Amino acid sequence: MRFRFSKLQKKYFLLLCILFVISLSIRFYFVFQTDQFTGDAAYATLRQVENIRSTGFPIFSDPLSFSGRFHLFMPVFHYIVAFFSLFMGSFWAAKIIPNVLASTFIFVAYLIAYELMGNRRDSLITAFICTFIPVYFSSTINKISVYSLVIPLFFLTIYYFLKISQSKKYVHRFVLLCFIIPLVSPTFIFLVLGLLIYLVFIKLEYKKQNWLELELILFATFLILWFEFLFFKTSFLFHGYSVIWQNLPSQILSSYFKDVSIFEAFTIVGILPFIMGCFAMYKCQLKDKDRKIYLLRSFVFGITILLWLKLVRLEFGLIMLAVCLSILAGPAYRSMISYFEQTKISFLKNVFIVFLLIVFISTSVLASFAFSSGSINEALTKEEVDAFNWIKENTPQDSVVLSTISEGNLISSISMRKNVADMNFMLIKDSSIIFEDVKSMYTYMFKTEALELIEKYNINYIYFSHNAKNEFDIEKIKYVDQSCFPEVYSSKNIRIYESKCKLGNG
Amino acid sequence: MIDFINFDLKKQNLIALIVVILILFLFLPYFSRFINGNTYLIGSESHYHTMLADELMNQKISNPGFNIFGVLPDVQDSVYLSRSMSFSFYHIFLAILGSIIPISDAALFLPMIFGFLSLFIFNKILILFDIEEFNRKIILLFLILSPAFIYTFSFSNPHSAIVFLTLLGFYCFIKDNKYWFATSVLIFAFVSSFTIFNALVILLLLISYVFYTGRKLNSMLVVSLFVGLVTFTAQTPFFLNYSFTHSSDFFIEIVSDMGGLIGFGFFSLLLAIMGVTFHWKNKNSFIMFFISALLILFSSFIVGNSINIYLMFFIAISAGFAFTTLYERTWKLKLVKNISIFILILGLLFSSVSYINRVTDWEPSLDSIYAFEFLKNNASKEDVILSHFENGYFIESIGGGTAFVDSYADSNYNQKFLIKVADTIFSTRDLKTAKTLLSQNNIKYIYIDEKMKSGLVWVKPDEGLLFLLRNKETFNLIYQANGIEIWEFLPSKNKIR
Repeated sequence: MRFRFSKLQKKYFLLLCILFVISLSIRFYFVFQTDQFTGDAAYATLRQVENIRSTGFPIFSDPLSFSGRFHLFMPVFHYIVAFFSLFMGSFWAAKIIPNVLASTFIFVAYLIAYELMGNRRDSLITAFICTFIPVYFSSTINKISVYSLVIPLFFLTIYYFLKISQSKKYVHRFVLLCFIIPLVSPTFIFLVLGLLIYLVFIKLEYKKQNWLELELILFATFLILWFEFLFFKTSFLFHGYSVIWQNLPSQILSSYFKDVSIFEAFTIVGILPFIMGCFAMYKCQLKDKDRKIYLLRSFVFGITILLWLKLVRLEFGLIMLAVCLSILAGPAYRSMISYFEQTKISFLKNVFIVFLLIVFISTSVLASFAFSSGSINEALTKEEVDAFNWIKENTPQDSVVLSTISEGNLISSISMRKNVADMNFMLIKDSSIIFEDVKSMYTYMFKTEALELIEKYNINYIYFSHNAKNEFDIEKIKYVDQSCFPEVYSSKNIRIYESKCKLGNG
Repeated sequence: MIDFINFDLKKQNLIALIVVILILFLFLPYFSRFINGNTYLIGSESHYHTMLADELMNQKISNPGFNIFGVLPDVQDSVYLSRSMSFSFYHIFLAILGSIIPISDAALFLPMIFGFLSLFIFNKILILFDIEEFNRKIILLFLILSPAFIYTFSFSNPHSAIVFLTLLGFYCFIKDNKYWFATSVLIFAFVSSFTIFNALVILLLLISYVFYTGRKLNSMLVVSLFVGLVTFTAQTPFFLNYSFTHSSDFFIEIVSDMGGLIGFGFFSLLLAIMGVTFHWKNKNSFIMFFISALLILFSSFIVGNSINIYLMFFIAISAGFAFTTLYERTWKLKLVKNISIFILILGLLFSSVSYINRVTDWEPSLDSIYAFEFLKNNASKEDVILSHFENGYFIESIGGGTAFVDSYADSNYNQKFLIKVADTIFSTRDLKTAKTLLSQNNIKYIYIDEKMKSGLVWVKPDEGLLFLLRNKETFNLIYQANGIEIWEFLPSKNKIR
């Protein structure tokens, strides 16, 4: 395939590349402010990457998580990062590659926008809007998040679907992507949902179906569903439909699927894209009835329903919503400018554009920076890293370390020790009981009660950090004493105790 | 791209394929076990029905005047919450066949015979409904690939006979002949003697047929009268479920891929929904059948998972129509069509194979047979044995003891309270509580297998009752082999300190 660009195409491609470089630069600016990562999931991913790098395989049978369990996940993203780690090391690959992947979304956004509007300048503006989606920016920065790959691939698939009527090559690319995407993440099931909702909308609105679209939607539905069932068969058998909620304990389910206020949604999504995206959908419904806008509208509708019914994780739901609305902001912008040009104050068009730019910068751009900064601030501190390294160097290899659930992956990834629980509850029985037990072991008043649970989980060490203090609203573990739980490590905010007693001789 | 999957289903000998798959899928669960040396029937329910048929045969032997076709004997089941053995005509068939060949072989072959016959009759019914040949064959294929079908006709259970007789009765009903009609009345009357639910299924079927054809209203009324009369005089329960899962979840029970015992593959359900959607503009022709299917579906909240045995025909028909529609349509892209059809077939096969794989490992294993036989030799019939309700029938049939709780449920008999008691005993770490509950319920032995320790009841080694079992004054380990433990509860040696 030979690319022949006209001068104009070259100009816009160059501008797009500049935008890509700007996005990447800003990401690197934040990411390299710390030599750690944010969130325990990042370290779990890093551990997988390092294992793939050394053995060629991910860790499916994990002896450390939950003191021994079976992981079920799609390793494609981990393999991609692991591949690059061969040339630059795990740390650099984990810092660089997710951000590069996340930034490639700019190109996809441009392509979709161009498909919707047929105008390069407006498409570039859309790409610019999509560069600074606060929730997407902060979720994919410094977290080694699979969403860095999911979002660009997801919308690339949508882009090819938009073009299926133009040429067979796009059909083939769509078909090819349908084979690849289920291997990346189970979240691609939402692609099926969005496409099916699109079918319903088209049926209601146009009454006449595009048979090629119908066939490809059926094909994608069958293929993706089959892949998911094949791969997650054990999870479905184990958890039934609770797989949707990833078997999270009911106690943390509420925080994962919590309600979001309109103001929070504005901030996370971006005020201007939110308003403009909604305007584009409204205009499509009443006037234009553009099938392509209907497609994006279907995804917005689908994700909104899932968020409302708490069937999708808040983070992913908001990212999808934000991205869809940001893309739709492009056609909305174009409509607004076209309308403005027809008014008597059309001479103020440039002022209006500058006004929009100021609003966008002061909301979305600054919000992206603020959220990213917040994400970087939440990265692991040196104190925590030192404590985990101490555990690694000073405890027996088969030790079990109690920590909060959000620190569990850090125990297994950095300290390389067994944890009691971490945030991945798939294929774990009685997740709510385990959650309660962990909480109890931090909040019990009396040693005997605690020892019963400590023996149940064969705990050798207790990691007590400011996270535990905040989570359980405690200043110290009340039953801890020198005889049974001598303090073996201490720093400003972290204590590590060794469990020496058993029930009956305490 | 190359059309690497270019396969015309219509040119294939689908009848031969249906017969092969039927034989294969019905025998495969047993075949895999036989190779590993396990010749026992699969599932606890099979053993329970064999025990009932055996009891009927024993009644005939011990009482020469006993007429197997006469009044069924009142024999108590070996279960804590007293109930009479629920004999049905299936157990009579099994006992008759069991007098010719060994009862275990009879229990193996009888449901399969009913399976073959049911499929034959169902095919005849579809022909009478003028279903086009290819469509009909696809429907039959969908039916035999259904996990609900495999369950019904692979494992000994009365529903295999009831389904066959219901289909036979319906076939006789829709034939235009008074002798066939008379036969259908007799058959329906016979079937309705099982439960009221079965009588209602018959009525729903006939009403749907009358609505569909606009004929035979009087015939339907006559059948309704006889069915009502039999149901009233026989005083049958509203429903009877031998495989009641006690903690059933509607969605999980209907989808075998999510663990449903008598469920359907996900793709079958998807195609069934598509079938209704594709043909919705012609809904007048099938709306009553659709409503009947929905009513049967919602009755699962009362009856339990066994309704899926009757639902499978509706699912197969709807899914078959959907598949045929997709297959016969001219797709714009042949490649996409071929891959889609291929994936659908793979998806259907995957559900069936996955289900067969699961049931092949069902109890009883050889290890558990040895353990139950140990119980039989060391425990008396009156000794109450506590275990998970899934082991209940094994305890009664092979173990020869009294099960604290099993999987039986009917409209007049509910073991939910006992399930809660059992769960309390299993989960408690308080010795006093455990002793009190065990004593109050006269439990003598506790049967624990590997499945119970691996998530069915407990997850961790010292969880709940497992922690208390180390108390040698209260519990005595009398059997231990290959992950199975039998503990004797010693109430007389306990002193509360």
